[in-house]
Amino acid sequence: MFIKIDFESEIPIYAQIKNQIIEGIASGNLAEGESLPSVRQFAGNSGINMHTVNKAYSLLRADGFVTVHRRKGVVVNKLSQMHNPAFMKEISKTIKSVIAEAYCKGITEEEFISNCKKIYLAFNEG
Amino acid sequence: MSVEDNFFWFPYTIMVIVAFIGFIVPFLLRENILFGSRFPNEIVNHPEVINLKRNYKHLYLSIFIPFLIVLGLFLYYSPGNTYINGGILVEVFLLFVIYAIYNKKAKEIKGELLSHEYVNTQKEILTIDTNFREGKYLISIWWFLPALLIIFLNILILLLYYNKIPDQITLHFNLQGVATQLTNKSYWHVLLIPLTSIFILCGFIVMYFSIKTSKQELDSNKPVTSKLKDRYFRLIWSDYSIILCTVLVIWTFFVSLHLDKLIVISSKTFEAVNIVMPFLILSTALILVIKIGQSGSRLKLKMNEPATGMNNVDDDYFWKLGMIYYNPHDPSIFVPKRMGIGWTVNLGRPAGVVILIALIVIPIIISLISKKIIMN
Repeated sequence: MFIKIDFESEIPIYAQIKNQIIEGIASGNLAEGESLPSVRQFAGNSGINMHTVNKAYSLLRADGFVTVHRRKGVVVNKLSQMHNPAFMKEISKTIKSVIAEAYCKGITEEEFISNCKKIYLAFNEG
Repeated sequence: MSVEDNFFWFPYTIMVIVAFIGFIVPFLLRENILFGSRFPNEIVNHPEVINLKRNYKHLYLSIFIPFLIVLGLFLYYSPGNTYINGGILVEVFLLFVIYAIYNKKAKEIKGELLSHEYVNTQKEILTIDTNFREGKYLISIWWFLPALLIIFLNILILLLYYNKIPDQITLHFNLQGVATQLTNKSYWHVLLIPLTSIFILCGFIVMYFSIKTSKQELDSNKPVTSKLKDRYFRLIWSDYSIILCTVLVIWTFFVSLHLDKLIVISSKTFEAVNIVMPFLILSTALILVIKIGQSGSRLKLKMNEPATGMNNVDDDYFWKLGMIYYNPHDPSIFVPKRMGIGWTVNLGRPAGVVILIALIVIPIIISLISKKIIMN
């Protein structure tokens, strides 16, 4: 999978890496059991600081997206392992602020929901 | 053909080939690199850029053609190591200066073009492939084993048949493999050639390692194509380095046995191989350099990858003079060359500095040691 990093973006680099890996998992670009480059390899390949990569990976591990094996390295977990029904509570705050912004910008409920559906559909098909 | 003739044509042709490679290198770089400076896609084919390339061709030829003629005259009328070594040094220095000048010019043009309001460049993005090293992109390191075994065989034969080697052995020899200077036999003298072979092998293994581990540098505009090209580039050069290493080791094996009179190679064969081999090596390397280009930029792959419209991140700041990479924040030790074909080290990392120093110092130490042995 290709990860694209924008150094001028407001989103910090570790978050860009983390978000794109999660998107890769959702879309099927990263299959379960697939291994990711080690922190050292990732940093060496990209020129990105090792601490930055490490931060992205530790967050991914803490959230159950990947497992760090001693021999196999960083491996993508099974989707079922990632399931967490309590997550809805965690993200409702984020969703609220996103919807608030959309509301102010004049985006209707239908538009917003149909967009969400499209994204879900793309992940389901992937 | 007399020895003197060879002594002129042989080094001279090599110098001409080096000058030719120096001339074409700026045209073999990755698509968005101009004289070691990274150009956004929008201006890489700007008329001013094309003008700069033309200007470079004229300047290069007007310096190197007279230089090669003068050097040729010197070499022809007084052949000797002084002019050969001196000539190569001057050649390398000229190349360095010309490249540095054009790198500066390229950066100036880029700054000028980007400051114009009408040039609107796309976002600068760094693209990383998480599967870059998956699958086969390199020949296995075990293919160095035959070369290693041949060296051991060489040492073994020399030790087993040590008594059969004459008391006076060859110290210097000419192109035909005929001794021009003899010395008393000793283990050091006898084993000098296989020991040098070991260092040659180590050199090739370092090269292999640099091919294997060097940083991936994908074109953000066409990541899939540039990934494939880079992988072919690594595959072909790792194959080439192993073949070359094995051929060199085999030939030194025979030379060593011949000089110690354990086998006899006719002077005609010896001369022919000694002349043909360097040219064969140089010409195959030249073909690879031209056909593949830096990071596979000249490979023609049948791919219809749509351009993403993204530019690579401008990292000119870390490439001093467009040739020397110094970036302490980059964990990579080996990186693809910016102004040349192959790989170079990151001088911002201690390991990079150590490797560079080792690559310069070790050959000097070897030549000093072998001189010392010869003196004794």
